Amino acid sequence: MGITFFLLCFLMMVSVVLVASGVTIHYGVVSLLFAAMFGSGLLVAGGGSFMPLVVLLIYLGGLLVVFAFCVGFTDDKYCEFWGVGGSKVLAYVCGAGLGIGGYCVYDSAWAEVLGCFVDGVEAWGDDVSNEFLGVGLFYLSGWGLLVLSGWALLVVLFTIMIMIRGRHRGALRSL
Amino acid sequence: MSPTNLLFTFSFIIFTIGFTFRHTHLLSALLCLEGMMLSVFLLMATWSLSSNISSFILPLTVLTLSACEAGIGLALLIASARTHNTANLKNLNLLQC
Repeated sequence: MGITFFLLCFLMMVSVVLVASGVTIHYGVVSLLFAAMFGSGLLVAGGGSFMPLVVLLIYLGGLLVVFAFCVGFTDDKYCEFWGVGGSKVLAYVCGAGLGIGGYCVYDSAWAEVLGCFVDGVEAWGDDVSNEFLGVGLFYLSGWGLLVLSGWALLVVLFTIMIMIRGRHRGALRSL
Repeated sequence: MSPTNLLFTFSFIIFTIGFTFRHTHLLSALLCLEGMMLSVFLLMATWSLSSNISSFILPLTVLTLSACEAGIGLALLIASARTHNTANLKNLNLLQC
């Protein structure tokens, strides 16, 4: 449990730093994909079963496909993986901060906190259906948020259709 | 603070730094914004996994609204690419002073 958890944390951190500091966005999209995947893996390690599935289906199935499509609209002359100049400095600063922060956590209460975490995982193992009950509350007491989400998605649909309608008739034109 | 909470908070901060310092492409800014929303979702999901069952409806709402935001941002990118031939951030200079 411990080494898998640590590996998930490390890989998610590497993907996050690659998204935030890499210059070429071809790699950035893939790194965000991996960050979402490892984040949902951490949710699985924390006891969740439905919401990691939602992340994988919505994020990786719906959204990042559109992101990967939109990469074709950018004009990158050079495909650089790790970046140049300022972004490399940014990556170094992020990595050093992560190392120092992680060492502080490790130094203070890492073992105790991790033990509590593993105990929580084991306690969550025997009623997983709690999460399904919680999601089912959308239709009982959370109907306001459900209506809000549906209304927001409808408004976004019409917004997108107006925004990309035509070259000279759409909402965004070249002046 | 548990290690997962610490990790997601760190990733939110790193995505914010990346969103601040990357000005070339619109898509890279959108990627960092998406990453910020993803880390907020993961934080709320870990919080709701350790609290009562009525808190599960909040991260799904946040995920839906972040999907709306990403849809509008990508539509803006497509419209900018169709009218200006590129999707760089320096094209969106109508309010530049």
